[in-house]
Amino acid sequence: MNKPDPLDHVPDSSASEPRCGLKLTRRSVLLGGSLAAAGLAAYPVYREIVAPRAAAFLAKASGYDASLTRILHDGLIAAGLQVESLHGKSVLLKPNLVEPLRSAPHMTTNPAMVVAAAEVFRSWGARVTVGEGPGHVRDTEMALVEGGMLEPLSHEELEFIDLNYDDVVWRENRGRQSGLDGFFLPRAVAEADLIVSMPKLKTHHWMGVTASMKNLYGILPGVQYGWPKNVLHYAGIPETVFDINAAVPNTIAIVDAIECMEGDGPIMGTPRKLGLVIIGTNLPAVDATACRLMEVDARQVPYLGLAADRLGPISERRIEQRGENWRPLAQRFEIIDAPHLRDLRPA
Amino acid sequence: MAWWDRPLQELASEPCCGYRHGSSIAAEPTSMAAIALSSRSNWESARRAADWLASHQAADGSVAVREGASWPVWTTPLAVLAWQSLASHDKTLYRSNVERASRWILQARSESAPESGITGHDTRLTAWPWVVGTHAWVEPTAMAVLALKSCGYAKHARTREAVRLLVDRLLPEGGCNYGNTTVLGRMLRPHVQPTGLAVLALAGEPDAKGAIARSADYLSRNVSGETTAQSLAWALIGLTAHGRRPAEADQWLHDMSTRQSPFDGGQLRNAVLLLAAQENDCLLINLPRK
Repeated sequence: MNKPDPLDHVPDSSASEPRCGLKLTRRSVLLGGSLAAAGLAAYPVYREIVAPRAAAFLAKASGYDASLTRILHDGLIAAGLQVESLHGKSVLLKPNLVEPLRSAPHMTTNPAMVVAAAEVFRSWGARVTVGEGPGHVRDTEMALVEGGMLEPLSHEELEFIDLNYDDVVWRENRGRQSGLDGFFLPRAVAEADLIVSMPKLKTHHWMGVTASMKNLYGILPGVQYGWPKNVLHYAGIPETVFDINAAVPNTIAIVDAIECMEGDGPIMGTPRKLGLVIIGTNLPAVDATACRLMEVDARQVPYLGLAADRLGPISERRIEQRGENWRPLAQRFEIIDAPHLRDLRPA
Repeated sequence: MAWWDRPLQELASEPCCGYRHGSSIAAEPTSMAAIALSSRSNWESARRAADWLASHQAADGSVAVREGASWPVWTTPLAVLAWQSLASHDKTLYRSNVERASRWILQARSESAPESGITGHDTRLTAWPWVVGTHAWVEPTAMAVLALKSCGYAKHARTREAVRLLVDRLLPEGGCNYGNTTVLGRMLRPHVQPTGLAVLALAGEPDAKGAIARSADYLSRNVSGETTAQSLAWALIGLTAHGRRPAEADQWLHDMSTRQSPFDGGQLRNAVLLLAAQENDCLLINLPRK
């Protein structure tokens, strides 16, 4: 039963301590240390300096054609991924196949994105697999067929791991925002050196927006959490999005923002062409950029509010935009008229 | 050589199985293996699967999803059906296991909620969840209904309420999904696999408003030789239980058995295809008619 109350999850604006793998530079620590000594009056300045920063790369993409490979290749480098370290490493590509339907391709990640990403990571010497645990359907083979994914995966000889049914390992809940003690993670996820969250950019009728952070709901196995993954709903959607992201820190994002969804997403919304790819090594920064492109206030998206300055930055000032400038590319995505979504528009 | 000889042979050689080849033993594929092997009178292999389920049963009667796990236990009804499938061979087998598991099912209950208008279904009804402490959904409820009916609890108040819940979760035009009809006023889409399981559990139930028949209609319209293995199997089992088995069913199953798929469906795929090949002599199909 989905009954989130986003108003219960007001972003904690006082939190500035970076967590979960984000590192302060020596310079920021030194600056922060001396400023802190100057007293509480300087706290806003201190916070601005020591809070984490990240980059988000933005590229135009007219469609799902051969140019995607070059876009992803250049974008991943521009986003700061240390590609030389990928040789021999295992990379798990995680598209969104929540409830695929041939007649609604704007609901799920386009297979061309996955094929292009696989080609790029393989060119850097990585071992690439694709994994997903569809949230609403138990017949994963059907999800692959309806999502147009089965044939390309077969053609490219890409192994697919059904994350709903994979063997699991237990991981303690390091995020501690929900009441869950820990998570059962598929072995394929726990053992991957790098997980690439590859969502379709969509509006979401509970959270406002779904992109790379929420996409990680799909790494949790349905066998343990159900169809839908109702355990997570009961523990709080924003809190569990945060905790799952904290549990798998070795993530980057490639967002399919070419043919998107607006309105009643993540399932029943309508197509909206944006023609972009968003890439980054910090998921909150990527998702906050996605929000700006949809004219949504990232701070009002409950899980981004929680993640801000803990898992990564969402403030525009702390996200270095690379590639295209987002401002002229932003479009006002339709959001359903519901009380819990009315604060999503920027002031 | 019939098409089912190869999957039957594979299943008989590995009746205690996981979701993928080489993965840890799990209760769902092992239960379905036991039922499929029983339906083919392969009692020895069926007993190996049923014995594993018995060894995996917890003191409270529940059966967890896989070896080494203590929760979740939504697989308990499937274990009951597996043990019950051997009763036609020997009525004395697994009686204590069935009794303890059915007692557990009867006391387990999903979380209900007051009507809010957010979702279209009646949130006050209770049945069975995937995970204890959460809401009721179509598939675990259908599994529990089938298990309780197999134990003679068809008229039990819990079974009756669960049947009401399943009917309530059917979409107006027929079919169902995981268990939501509308969310925030928007009608959702049906899917074949959960609809197959739901109509199987509802076979033989009164249908004054035609909701069950419309869901069987939905299955008839949406199953074909192109349907993937799990969905095809559950659609055929459901339709067969309603006496509406498509004329092309055997050809579809034959074609499916020879189709190469890069998707590893494990032994569960073999088990459900074997069950779908049964027009009768199968606990799942005969059960609702009793």
